[in-house]
Amino acid sequence: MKYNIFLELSSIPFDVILCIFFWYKYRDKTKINREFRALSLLVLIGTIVDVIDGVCISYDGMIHPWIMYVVNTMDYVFATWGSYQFVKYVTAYARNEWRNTAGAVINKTAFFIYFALLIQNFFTGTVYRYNAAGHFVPGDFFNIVVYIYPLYFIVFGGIYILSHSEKYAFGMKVSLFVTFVFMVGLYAYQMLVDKYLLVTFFAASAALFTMFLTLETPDYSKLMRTMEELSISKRELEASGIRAAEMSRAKSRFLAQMSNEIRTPVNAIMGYSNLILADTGEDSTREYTQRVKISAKRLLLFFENVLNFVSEEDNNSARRLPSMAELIEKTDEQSFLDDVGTSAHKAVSGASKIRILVVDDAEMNIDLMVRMLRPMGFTVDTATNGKQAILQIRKFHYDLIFMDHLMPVMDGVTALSQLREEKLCEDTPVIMLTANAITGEEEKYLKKGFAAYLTKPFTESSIRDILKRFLPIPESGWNEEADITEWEALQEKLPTVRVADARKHLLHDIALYRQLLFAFAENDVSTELSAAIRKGDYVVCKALIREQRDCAVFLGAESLVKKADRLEALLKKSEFELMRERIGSFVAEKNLLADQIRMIGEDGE
Amino acid sequence: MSKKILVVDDSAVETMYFKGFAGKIDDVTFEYAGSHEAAIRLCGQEKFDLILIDECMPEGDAFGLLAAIREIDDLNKSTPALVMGSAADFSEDEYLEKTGFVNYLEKPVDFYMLKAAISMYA
Repeated sequence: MKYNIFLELSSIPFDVILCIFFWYKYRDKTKINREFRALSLLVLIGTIVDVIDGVCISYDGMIHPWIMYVVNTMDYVFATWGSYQFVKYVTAYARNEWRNTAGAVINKTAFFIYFALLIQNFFTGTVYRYNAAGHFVPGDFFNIVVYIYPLYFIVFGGIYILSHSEKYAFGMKVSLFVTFVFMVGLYAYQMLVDKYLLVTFFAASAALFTMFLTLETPDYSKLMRTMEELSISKRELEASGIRAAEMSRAKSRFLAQMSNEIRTPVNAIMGYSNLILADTGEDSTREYTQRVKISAKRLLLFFENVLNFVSEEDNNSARRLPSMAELIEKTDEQSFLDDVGTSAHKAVSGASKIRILVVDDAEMNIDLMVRMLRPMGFTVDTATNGKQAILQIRKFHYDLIFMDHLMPVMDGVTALSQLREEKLCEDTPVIMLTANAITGEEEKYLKKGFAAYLTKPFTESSIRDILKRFLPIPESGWNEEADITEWEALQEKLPTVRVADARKHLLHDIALYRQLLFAFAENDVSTELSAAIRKGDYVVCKALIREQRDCAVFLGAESLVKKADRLEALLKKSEFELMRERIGSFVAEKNLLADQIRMIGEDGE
Repeated sequence: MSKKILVVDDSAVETMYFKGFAGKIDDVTFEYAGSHEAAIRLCGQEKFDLILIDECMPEGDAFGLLAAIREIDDLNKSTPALVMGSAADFSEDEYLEKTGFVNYLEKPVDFYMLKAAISMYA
C-alpha cells in the first residue's frame, strides 16, 4: 500500500466512541456544546474519508477516475471543514460578540471560495487531476486547497484564543494550545517529511480528545441554570414580600375605613334612640326604640366580629372562616338588655363655666354630642374638621376637646400634632372619638398624645366617665341625687313656672334663663298697655300682649300664656270691653311673677 | 363667608332670648332691628341672606315691612324672608303666598327650627 493508513484507522473507533458519548451525554442546547458535537462528527467523518482516500490512491489504477475525484474532493473538504469548525468552536466562547465581525465574514467568504475552487476543479483540474494513465497529478492550487486552507483556519483559531485569552479558562487555554501545536506540527510533518503517512486526522482526533477534557461538563451547565433560576426566584420572592406588605397596609386602611363607615351611622341610630328613650313617656315608643337600639347594637357587634376576624387573619393565616351563625352567636343578645337608655339629662353644677369643643365631620354625631353635653350645662362649640377646630381653639380656651379621627380637610391626628406644635391648648385634654374598633389599633392614639379615646358608638355614660376623669368638677357636682341643681332651685322659687319647659327652649343655658327672667321682670308693660287701650290703639295692644305671651312661653310661665291667649282671642273678636275687664288679672299675674323673680335676684346676691 | 341674617323684633326680652342661642350657630352673623324704621335703614345699607320679621309689632304687621323693604332698593329685593309669630295666623298657605314670605317660624323660636330654617333658606 502506498499510504500508511494505520494511525488513522486506529483513531476511527476512538472517534466513534467519542461521538456517541457526546451525542448522549452532552445534550444541552448551548452553542458551545453544539459546535463541539459538530466538530467531533466532522473529525470522525473526515478520518473515515481520509482512510478510504488513502486506500483508493494506493490502488489508483484499478478504480474509476470519477470515484477517485469524488473521494479525493471529499477528503479535502472534510479536512478544511473540520478546521473551519474548529474556528467556530473557539469563537463560540465569545458568544454573540464574534457573529457579525469582519473576521467572521472573511472566514465565511474564504470557506465559500474553497468550495468554489473544488467544484471548478472538476472541469479545469487546477487543483489536481488524473492523467490518461489514471495517475494523480497536483495542479496550481493544490497546496492552497490541501495545506494552506486547513492551516489558515487552525492558525486563525490559535490567534483568536491568544487575543481573547480573558474568555478562556486556564485549562482550556492549555488544551487549545496543545491542540494547536499538535495539528500544526503533524501537518508540517506530513507535508515535509513523510507524504505517505496519514497523520492529519489522527492529530485531529487526539486534539479533539484534549479539548474534550477541558469542555464544560453538562453538570456544570445544569448548575449554572439552577443558580440562575434560584436568583430569579429570590428576586420574585422579594417582590412578592414588598407586595404583601403593601397589601397589608392597604388592608388596615380599608378596615379602618370600614369600621368608620359602619360605626358612624350606628352611633347616630343608638344615640338618637337614647334621646327618644329619655324623652318619651309612651310605653310603646319606648319598647320600639329599645328594639331599634338592640338591633343597631347587634349589627355593630356583628360587623366588629367580622372586622376583627379579618384583621387577625394576618397573624394566623391557617384559620378557618367562621360561619355567619358563629359570628352572630358571638354577639350575645342578653348583653344589651341591661343597657337601656339612660335617664333624662341631669345637669352638672359648675358646668356653665366649662367650655367644650366637639370636632366631627358627621353632623349627626355633633348633634348627638351637643344634645348630651348642653343639657348637662356645658358651653359647647363645634367644628367639622381639624382646620376649623384649630381656628376655634385660637379664639377660645377649651377645657376639653372631643376629636374625631377620620375627617375631610384635616384629620384628628394631624390636627392634634399641629396644636401641639403651635403650643395651643397645651393643658387641654384631647379625647379621640374613634370609629376604628379594630383590636389593638386604639392604643396607638394614646401614643400620639390623646388623653383618652372613646369608641363610637358613645353613650351618655361613657361621655360622663370621660368628663369626670378630665374636668375640674368636684365629686358633688356629679352627684345627681344629692345635689339640687340650679334649675331645681329656680323651680322651687317660681312655683307658677314650668322650668323644665324653659330648659328645653333655652338649650339648658341657665345663665341665659336668669338673664331673661330679670329682663322680663323689669319689662313693665302695664302703663303702655293701659295707654294703648285708652287710645283704642288695638294694634299696639295686640303687639304688647303678643310679646308678653311669647316671652312667657320660653320662660315657662304657663298660666300667663293662657291669660294672654284669652286676651288676644277677645281682641280678635273685637270684644274690647271684656278685654279691658280682664287685662287687670293679666297684669296682676305678670307682676306676681316679676316679684318672685326679683326675690331670686336678692337671694342670689 | 358667613351668612348675614337680619332679625326684626321690637321686644328687648325676645331679642335677648334670640341672641342667647344665635351665638351657638356657626358661620352666621345676626343683626338686630328693634323697629320697622331701623329695619328699612339696615336693608338699604347691606345685603342680607335671610330676613326674619316679627309678625306683630306696634308699628304694624310684618307684611307691610316686607313690602317696604322690597320697595326701597335692589339690595334685598330677592332676599328670602320668614315671618315669626303664632302658627295659627299662618296656618293657611294663602297668607304666605299673598305676602311673599317663604315660610314662618313659630314663636318663641325654637333653636333647632331656626337652624333648619337657616340651612334651608339662607
